[in-house]
Amino acid sequence: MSSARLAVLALLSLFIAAGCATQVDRIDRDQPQDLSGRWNDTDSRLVSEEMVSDMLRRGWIGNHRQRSGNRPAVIVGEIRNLSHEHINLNTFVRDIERELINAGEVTFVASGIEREQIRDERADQQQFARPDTAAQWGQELGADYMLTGTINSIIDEEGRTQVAYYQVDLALTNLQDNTRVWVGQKEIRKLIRRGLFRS
Amino acid sequence: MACSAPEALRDRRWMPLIPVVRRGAWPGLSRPRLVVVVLLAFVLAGCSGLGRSFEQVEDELTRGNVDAALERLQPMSGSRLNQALFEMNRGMLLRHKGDLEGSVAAFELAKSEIGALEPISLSETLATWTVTETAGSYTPPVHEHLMLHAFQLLNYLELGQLDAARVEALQIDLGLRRVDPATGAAPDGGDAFARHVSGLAFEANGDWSDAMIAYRHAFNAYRRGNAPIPRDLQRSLVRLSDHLQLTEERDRYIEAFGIDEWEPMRRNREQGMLIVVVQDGLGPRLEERTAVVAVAADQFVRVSLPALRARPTGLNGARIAANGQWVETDTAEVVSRTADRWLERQMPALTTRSIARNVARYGATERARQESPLLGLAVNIAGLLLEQSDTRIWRTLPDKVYLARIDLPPGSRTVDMEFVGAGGRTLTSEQRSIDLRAGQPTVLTGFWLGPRS
Repeated sequence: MSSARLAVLALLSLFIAAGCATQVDRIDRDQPQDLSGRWNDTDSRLVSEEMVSDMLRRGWIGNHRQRSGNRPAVIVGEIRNLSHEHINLNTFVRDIERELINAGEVTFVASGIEREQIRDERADQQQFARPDTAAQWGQELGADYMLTGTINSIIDEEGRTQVAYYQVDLALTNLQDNTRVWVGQKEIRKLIRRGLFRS
Repeated sequence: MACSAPEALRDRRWMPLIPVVRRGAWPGLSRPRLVVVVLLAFVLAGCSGLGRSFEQVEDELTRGNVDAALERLQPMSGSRLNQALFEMNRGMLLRHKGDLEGSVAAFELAKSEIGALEPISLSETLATWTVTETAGSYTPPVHEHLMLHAFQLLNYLELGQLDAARVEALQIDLGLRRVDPATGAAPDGGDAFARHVSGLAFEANGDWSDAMIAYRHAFNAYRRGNAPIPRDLQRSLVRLSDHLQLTEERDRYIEAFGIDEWEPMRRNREQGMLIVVVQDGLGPRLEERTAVVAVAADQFVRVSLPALRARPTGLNGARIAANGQWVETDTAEVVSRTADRWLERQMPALTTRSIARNVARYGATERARQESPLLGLAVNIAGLLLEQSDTRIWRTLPDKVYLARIDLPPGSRTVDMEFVGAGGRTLTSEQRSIDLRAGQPTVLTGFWLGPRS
């Protein structure tokens, strides 16, 4: 066997035995990185920004202020993932909360689980905190509206090409009388072409 | 039933060829060249120790030492070729342990690994045709992929994450439509169980139409596989078709199953849904059947093909005492039977690849022999060492899955579960505490790994 052949065999064995070294590059938060075609942090951020922006442009805020003289208090309720992917809804809910709070147009009320934690802390304060600094019971702000929604998806696939369609529906409901004051919808379409080969 | 290998391979084991090579008689083969040849043989034959390591995992698991089984499994991590298989096994072991969140995470990693393996690797494909069958990454067959989703779905149901269970059901449907766009059927089976649990997930979410579609698919899949239709599926088909006012379809099911009374869906939603899943034993293992044949006076070829060995435990199902009556489970999936069909379908391709590898090696040996007879012998030996069948399989899958669904009034209660052997004999029993909520599923999983020593 020639030396060249032996070298090729040795290289082949090294190629198979050795894995690729890990490389990490920091990327900008606003730079979209679509690796798999699945729902990702960019989708979550863009959808929350656009939907909250739409929500705050509508007339329900003005109506509420005219009626009560206050900014509306909003709470984020259940947002259901009805898509074909496991979507981190916590990230999505946090994105919506951030947009709502930072817009300064509404007062934001903590969610149910967070309220329980806060109540535990308040109960703790009644026993251990200096009386003039302890938070008082019965002073919580009741929300005026609850935001709920769903994320749906439709997948169409032919060979190695896939079209993923996501539809996010959000609705704001008046907690007093159950009337819907705002309904928003955002669609995302992704064309995913899967490669035939991998390294 | 073991899948049959060619007749020549049956009951023939490795022939000890190494002693034929006498020490010190290596003219024409320099030490570095010999080292390279032997090194290559051992590098590419990396899977040979996997089976042995896995026996230790199974030993610990059958002894009830799940933590020790997980420890035994850990060294198998990090192998790029077997990462999906590692995560699938880890997910199942964590499920045995009751660490459902851990199991969910491991199964998701397995799914991610499998997704990354979808495109073809030219180097791996070339290596499996010319070097060894085990040179390729482990990509699970369709039925294992379905089981991965089905057990993940059950994990989510058990955790009370109904939307996530629904996602798994959608992924099962998506995957099956990709495999067979016309019927959504799996080539070797496994889809009946996956569709059945999909129906349960849809029903738990109140998606009646989707549940009906999933149950219909499950019904067709059981029939296609000549398997009996589980009673829960029979009742679900009647109840849902009645609820959806599909009267003609409902009447067909009533006639086919002989069901004359059922709980209407409205009342059903006021009840707690107890889903009993019994995982029986361990899935089949693949063993190597090898034949070493002399094709010339000084040249040998080795043909190795996998054969399936099922590992039944003697369990026939389970009985659950609920609300003053005993309810029996039905067979929902026989993994070893599905694997058997899969291997039978694979055998022509495996045989072809084995022949192709031997032809390639024969040529390489001939060329090496022209340079030096002993170099030819060394290449021949290296080729014989490399020829291994791929015996990788998801061995922590159960051999069978039994299922029952019992609708009970909501509340906390204790249920008795009896594991039943041949002739209805009770093998062992255990008590479980459950908490049933109206309209919500509660999954009760029983594991049977044979009598504990």
